Amino acid sequence: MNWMPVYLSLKIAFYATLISAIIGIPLGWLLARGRFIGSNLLSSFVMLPMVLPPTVLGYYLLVLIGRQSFIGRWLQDTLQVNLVFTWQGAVLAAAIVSLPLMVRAVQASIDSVDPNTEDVARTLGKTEPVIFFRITLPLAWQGILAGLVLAFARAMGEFGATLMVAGNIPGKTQTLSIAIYDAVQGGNYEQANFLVILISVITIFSLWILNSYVKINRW
Amino acid sequence: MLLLEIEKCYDEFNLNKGWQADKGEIVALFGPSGSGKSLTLKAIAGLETPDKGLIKINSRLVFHHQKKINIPARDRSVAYVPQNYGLFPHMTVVENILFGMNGNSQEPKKKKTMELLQRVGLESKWNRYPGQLSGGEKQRVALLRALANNPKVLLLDEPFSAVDIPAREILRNEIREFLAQWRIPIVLVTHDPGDLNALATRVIEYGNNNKPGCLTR
Repeated sequence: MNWMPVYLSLKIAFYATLISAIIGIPLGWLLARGRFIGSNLLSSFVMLPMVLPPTVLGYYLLVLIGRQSFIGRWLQDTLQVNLVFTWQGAVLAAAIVSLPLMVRAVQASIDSVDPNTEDVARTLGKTEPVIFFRITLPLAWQGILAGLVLAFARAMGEFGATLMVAGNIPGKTQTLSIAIYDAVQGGNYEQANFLVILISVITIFSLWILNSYVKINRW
Repeated sequence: MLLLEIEKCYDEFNLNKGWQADKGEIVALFGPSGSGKSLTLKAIAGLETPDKGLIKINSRLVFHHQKKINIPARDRSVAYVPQNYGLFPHMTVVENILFGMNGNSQEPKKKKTMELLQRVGLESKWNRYPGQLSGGEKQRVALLRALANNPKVLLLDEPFSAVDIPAREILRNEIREFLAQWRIPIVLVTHDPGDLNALATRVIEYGNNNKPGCLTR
């Protein structure tokens, strides 16, 4: 059995989840608590990857980081970074695709935190970062965790955008979903069955862990 | 002493009020919902910014429209107890009170917290979460938390709205004795006439007859 796609998918999903958490948590907070002009526009823009076909998204990304674009040229000439057909490119694709799930989960869970608690903390002399880390985040934590799991699962299963940006290079960018497609195309059903069962088990297991964690509620 | 003269405009209504409250007074802002009572409290606390006017606590200006003074809520020394008390549900009674207390060393703060809890008969519940307390107990914890740093003003938004009517009478008596110990201006928002007789030393009416003024803006 070839375990390489499993390892690659886990690695890519891990980094993609990390990126979407780093961007998604502040963004979700901003959308839940911020009062600014254009918040609806920003909200719609963040949701785009959820409704656009992954191939379209992948194509945009490919054009953006490829040599034809300003950003792509800058990345390659100044930073010596080439993202096309690399696992880092796959991370970028997976992060963008899973970002809406993260943002939505964070936004909903921060929305459910009673703003009175934050107001009281302000009158008790606390600064905004202290309030965020000691009041908002702990109270929204379960929803954020759910967002992390969903983002991870989405990144694990990413196919379309990843294929466009990173291609299908065995051992380099061939992730689980792509390897399954590849195995079926090549008639290698043994490998396909193995990977399909594996990804199903991983997904069910992580959802089960999430559900049992959410049931433990101290207060 | 608390002095204010504020104006805030909204599409549907405008708030334009001025009054003052002295040490030891319990001033009740009384009127229907939507008349700007809670908004006034939030403006005093620094949680809402009025469009015009000034707010003065003792001799210190905490808000002045023309002078562009707007001290943030955290630096105003104003204690605020919102309608549902705003207790932190993920912290125990003791942690709730400790959270807002000034000072770095934990031991004296803990000692003071336990003394405060003893004074209101809650010492045995120090380790409970707010979800495990009755309405009256929650209110006492919220008051202790608010008063632990010796604030200069205490603001209470509808203190009994979360309590059923038979329990209100008992709580009003409890809270009156408790509040009498603090020699600071206390502002109470209510639309329940029962609160006025039981608690207030003075009533300020809020109605829909706010002075016009910002319609011309």
